[in-house]
Amino acid sequence: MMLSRLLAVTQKDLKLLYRDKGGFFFTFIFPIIMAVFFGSMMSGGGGMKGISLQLVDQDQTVSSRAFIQKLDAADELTIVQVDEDTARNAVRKGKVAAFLILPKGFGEAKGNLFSGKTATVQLGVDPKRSAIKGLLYGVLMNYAAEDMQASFTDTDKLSTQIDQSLADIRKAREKGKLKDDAKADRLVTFLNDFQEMVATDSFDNNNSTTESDKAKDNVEGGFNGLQPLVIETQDIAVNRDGPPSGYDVSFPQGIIWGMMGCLSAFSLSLVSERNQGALSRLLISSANRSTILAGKALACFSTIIFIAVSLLLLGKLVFGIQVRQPAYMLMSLFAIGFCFSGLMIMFSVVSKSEKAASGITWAAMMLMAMAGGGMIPLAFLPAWMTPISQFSPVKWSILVLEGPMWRQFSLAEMLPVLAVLMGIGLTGFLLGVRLFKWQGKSP
Amino acid sequence: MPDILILDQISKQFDQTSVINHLSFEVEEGEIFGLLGPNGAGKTTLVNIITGLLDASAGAVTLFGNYAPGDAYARANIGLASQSLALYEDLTAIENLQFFGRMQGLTGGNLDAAVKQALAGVGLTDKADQRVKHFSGGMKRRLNLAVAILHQPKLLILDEPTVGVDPQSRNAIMESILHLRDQGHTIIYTTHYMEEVEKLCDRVAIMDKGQLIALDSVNGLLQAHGDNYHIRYSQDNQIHNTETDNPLATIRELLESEQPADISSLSVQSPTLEQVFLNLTGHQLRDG
Ligand SMILES: Nc1ncnc2c1ncn2[C@@H]1O[C@H](COP(=O)(O)OP(=O)(O)OP(=O)(O)O)[C@@H](O)[C@H]1O
Ligand SMILES: [Mg+2]
Repeated sequence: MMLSRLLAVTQKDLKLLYRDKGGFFFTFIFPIIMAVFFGSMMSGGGGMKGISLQLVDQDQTVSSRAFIQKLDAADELTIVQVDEDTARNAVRKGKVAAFLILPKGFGEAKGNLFSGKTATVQLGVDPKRSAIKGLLYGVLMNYAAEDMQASFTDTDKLSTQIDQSLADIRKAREKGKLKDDAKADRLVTFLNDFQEMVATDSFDNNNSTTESDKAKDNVEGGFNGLQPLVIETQDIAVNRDGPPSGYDVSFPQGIIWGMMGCLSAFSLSLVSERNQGALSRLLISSANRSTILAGKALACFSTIIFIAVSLLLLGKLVFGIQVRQPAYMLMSLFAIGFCFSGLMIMFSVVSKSEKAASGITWAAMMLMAMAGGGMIPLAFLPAWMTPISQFSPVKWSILVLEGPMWRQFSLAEMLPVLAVLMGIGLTGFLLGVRLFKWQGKSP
Repeated sequence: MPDILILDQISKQFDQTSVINHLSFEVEEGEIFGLLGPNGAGKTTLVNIITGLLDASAGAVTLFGNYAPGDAYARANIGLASQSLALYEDLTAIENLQFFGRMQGLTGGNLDAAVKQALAGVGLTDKADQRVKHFSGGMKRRLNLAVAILHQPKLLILDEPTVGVDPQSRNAIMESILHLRDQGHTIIYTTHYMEEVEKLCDRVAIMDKGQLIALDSVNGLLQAHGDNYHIRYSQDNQIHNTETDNPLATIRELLESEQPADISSLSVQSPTLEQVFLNLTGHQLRDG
C-alpha cells in the first residue's frame, strides 16, 4: 500500500518536472550544453579536429622543418613541438595520443633518395590505442610520400640528388667500399639514364598539371621499391593520471550540473507544494510523511541516474569518453544519486518562500560547484582552495565519476569516496526529515 | 447520535497573540455543522487543529471516539477542502484526482470509480483532461471539493468552499453537500455567508476573535439572539419602523387602528443571523 503511494509521488513529480519548462531545461538541456561546450574548450579545439601529436625535432634541418610544416598544416593532426622528455611524459600521462621524434639524420636521409638510407621517424603511442596508431601510420606515410613525389617532380632538385648519388657511388668505389660491383654498375647506368630523362621536357612539370600527373605516374612506376619513410614505433604504456581528453573532464561536470538542476527543481517543488497547500493535503492524507519524502527522493534519484546515464552514453558515442570500470560506475551513480537526493530534502526545508529557497539553493550550489571543481576543474584552482574543496559534495561527486572513467581507481580508492557521498546524503536526509516534521506542524 | 468530534477548551497562540480562546463544542455524526465567523475569527486555524496540521496550544481534540488529530485512523477518515486551493496546476483535473486518490490508498478499479464519481459530483466530467492552470477560480474550487470527497471520508471539512464561485456553481456545490449529508457523511462547513449557513446547516457555531459566541440550530439562534421582526410602513408620506416578536399580531393591530387606508406600503423583515451576530458582538459579520 505504502509502496503504491510512494510511486504515486514519484510519478507525479516526474510528470511535473517534465512539464515545467525551466526545470526541464536546467535538468536535462543545460548539463549537455555545459559538457559539450567546456569539453570542446578544454580540448583546445583539437578534441574533435584531430589527433594531438607532440613532436620532437632532433634533426633541425631544412628538410625536417619542411616535413613538420607539412604535418602541421594537416587537418588530421594538431602539432606541438617539445623536447623528448616532455613528449614521452605527455603520452605516458595520456595527455596526448602520441609523440613523434625526427632523429638526427632525418633530413640527410630524406635529401638522399638513392643512397640506400631511408628517412626514419620514431612514433610513440599507447599500444591500447591501436586505431590511433594505424591512423598516424597512414597519415605520416601519406605526407612522406607526397614529400618524395614533390622532390621527384622538382627537376632541379632531382638532378642535384642524382648527381649527389653518383658522386657518392664514385667515392665509395674509390675507397673500395662497394661489395657488389655488378649491382653498383647497374645503379650507375640507371642513374645516368634517369639524369638524361630528367633533362628532357617530359619531366618538366612547370607546364601543365596533366603533364606533371603523367610525370608522377612515371616516377611511381619506375621507383616502386623506394620507401618514403620508416616508422619505428615505440609502445608507451599510458599511466593514467590525467584525463584522455577535455570531454572526460567536462562530462562528469555536466552530470554534476544536471544533478544540481535536479536538486533545485525537486526541493523547490517541495517548497511550492508546502506554500500552495498540496503538502498539507498530503500530510493529512493517509500517507505517512516518510512515504511522501521517499517518493520525492526517489523521483530525484531516478532523474539523476537518468541524466548521468544519458550524458555518459552521449559522451561515449559522440565524444569518445570511456568508462573503463562500468561496475564501479554503477556504484558511483548510486552514491551521487543518494547524496544529491538527500541534499534535496535538506534544501527544501531551508527556506519557506519559493523565491528565497530558489536563491539560497542556487547560491549554495554555486559555492559547492565552484569550490568542488564543478566550474573550473580542481587542477586549475589555486592551492588554497584544496582544503575548502574537501567540504564540497561536488568535488567528491566528480572524483567518483572520474574514478571509473579514467583515473583507474581501485576498489580501495573508490570506497572512501563512496562513503563520503553516502554520508553527505544520509546527513541531508536525516536533517531534512527532522526539520521537515517540525515545519509541517507549524505552517 | 455519537460525537464525531469533541473540542475541549482549545486555545491557540501564535507568538503571544491569542487566536483561539478556550473553545469547546461537539460535532454529532451525520450533521452539517456550520462554523460562522468574520475574516480572522480563527476558523481556518481551528480546522488546521482538527486535521492535525497545527497543534493546539492547550486543550484536547477527540475524533471518532478516541483518536487524536494526525492519528493514522483519523487521517484516513477526514477529507479536507482547504480554503487555499491545494491542487497541482500543471496536472490535469483527472491526474490531480488520481494522485490524491492513490495517496489515500485507493487503487485500481476503486480509484477509477471514485475519480469518476467525484468528477461527476462537482460537474467537471467534461473538463477532466484539462490542466488545472487553465481552470477558472470556480472550477478550481469544485475540483478542490472533489479531491476532498474522493475517499468517502466520515468527516468532511469544507473551509469556505464557495469563495469565488458563481451562483450557479454555488447552488451545485450546496446540492452536492446536502447529498453527501444524506449519504451519512458528517460535514463541518466554515463560511462567512450566513445565507449558506441558513440553508445548509443543522447547527451553527458563531465565532468571533477566537471565541465561541453562540451554538445552536439556526432557528434556535434566531429565536434566542435574533432581533424582533422589523415592520416598516409608510403612512401620510412618513416612514415608520417598529419591532415586534409577533409580527402577525402587530400587523393586525396596525390595520385595526386609526386609518389603515393611509398606509401606502408595508414590509416585514424577519430576523437574520447577521442580526444575531450584530447583537452578540456589536459589529457586522461582513466587514470583520
Ligand atoms: N501562522 C500564523 N502565525 C500568526 N498568526 C496567524 C497564523 N495563522 C493565522 N494567524 C492569525 O490568526 C487569526 C485567525 O486566522 P484564520 O485564518 O484562522 O481566520 P479565518 O477565520 O479562517 O479567516 P478567513 O475568513 O479570512 O479565512 C488571524 O488574525 C491571523 O492573522
Ligand atoms: Mg479561513
